[in-house]
Amino acid sequence: MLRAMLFVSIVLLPLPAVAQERAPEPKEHAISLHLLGLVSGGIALSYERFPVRARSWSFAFSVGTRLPAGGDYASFALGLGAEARWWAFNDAEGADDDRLDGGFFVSGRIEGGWTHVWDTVQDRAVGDTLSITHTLSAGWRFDVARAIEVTPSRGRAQTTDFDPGGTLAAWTRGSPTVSLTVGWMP
Amino acid sequence: MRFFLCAALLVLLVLGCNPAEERTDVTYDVRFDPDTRLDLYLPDDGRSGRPAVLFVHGGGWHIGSKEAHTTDAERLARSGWVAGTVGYRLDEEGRFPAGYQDVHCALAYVRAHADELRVDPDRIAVAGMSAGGHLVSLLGVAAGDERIATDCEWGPTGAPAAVISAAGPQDLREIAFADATQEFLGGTLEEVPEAYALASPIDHVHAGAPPFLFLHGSFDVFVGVEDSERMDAALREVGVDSRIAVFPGGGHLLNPGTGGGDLQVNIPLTTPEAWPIIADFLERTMGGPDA
Repeated sequence: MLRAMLFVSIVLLPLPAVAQERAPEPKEHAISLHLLGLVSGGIALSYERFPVRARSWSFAFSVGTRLPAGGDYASFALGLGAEARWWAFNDAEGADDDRLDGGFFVSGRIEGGWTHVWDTVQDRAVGDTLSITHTLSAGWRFDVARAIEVTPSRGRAQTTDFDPGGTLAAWTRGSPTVSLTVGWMP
Repeated sequence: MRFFLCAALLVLLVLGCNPAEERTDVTYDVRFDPDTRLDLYLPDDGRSGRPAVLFVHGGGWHIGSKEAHTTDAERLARSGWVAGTVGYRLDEEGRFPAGYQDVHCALAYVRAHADELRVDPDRIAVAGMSAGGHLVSLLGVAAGDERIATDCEWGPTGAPAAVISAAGPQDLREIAFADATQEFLGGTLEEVPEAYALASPIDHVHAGAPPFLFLHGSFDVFVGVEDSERMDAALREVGVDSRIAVFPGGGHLLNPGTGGGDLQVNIPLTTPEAWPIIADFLERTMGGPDA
């Protein structure tokens, strides 16, 4: 009897811990860099949060800046964005075991931007653009070693530009978008 | 109720209070109709003597349509400019100098109808993207060249008051390897070198040309930014008022959005920094709608 109890204590009790290692805790945060911004004189970072009880959704907030214009002009742009993502393969509450930290998602995003332009030849302000962009996207998140995310996505954006100086009327234009983020999932 | 009235007022303010009058599919050269039509957008306030901008689309001289610039023209018209979008002959029918002559004729048409269109004939600018950027640049420096001038009912006419060229080739010898260039000019550089020279805006640069504005992405793999930079330098060399805006990382059809994160499949004309530059350039060189 004693032997049997000893066997149970030594062999069986650690099993739950082993099982936990095989199904690690899902990631709840991601801090990402928008790679395509780097080639266009900009940098944008986003913070993404997976609510604990609604794992098929995540919410991301981003901030980005660019110093885009060159030649005879210079400019400064600042953007703030919020995004909701629905993850097709992230199981709902209570089904943690097979949960992925990635896969296919669709998202809706809203972003506000301000661009200030000045003339470097005459050293004077040229004007500003205020923008509101709505984007619907679909993408795929690759989970690398459960610590790094790589997320390409494509979407369709609708941007409305306003000229606070009043020279130009507002206008709305649509365009396809491409995005690529790489991030850390602590 | 009050909420809805306020919301409606806000929408009106946002969209602008100068709705544009549209005149679409106006034939400017009956000989080549329907290729030679333009759409016109007029501020609907009855004022005359307006500055105007004619947009010329791209597409490698083979594809595209005037509708590519409809939203640009509508925006300018709601801002007080008269604006137009020009269709021109493409492909074999548009082989040089035919496509160029059509754009020349469209400018002549608007000048000839300046009173009816409430336009100041001395304040008409042209703007184009890619192949359209090439055609408007050529119009800016070669409008007086009788070898390629239009022979349409309304022309020839003098140079436009200002030129905005976005990602337009300025020296066609630099893209002589491209099928589109060879088809547009009717042969390779070795076969028809004189056509390449005649069609290259940079070969026509002269003092007294109108002010130029170049918009170009630094990562443009179709038409290198060096083309615009060389043309800009050549114009400055002879004393022409020329400016250039280079968008780091911008491409021919892929350009940054506002926030610095994503790229949008769009032309350089649509970047958030392009429009303040365009409006400022137009106001500085030929006066704004209220001038």
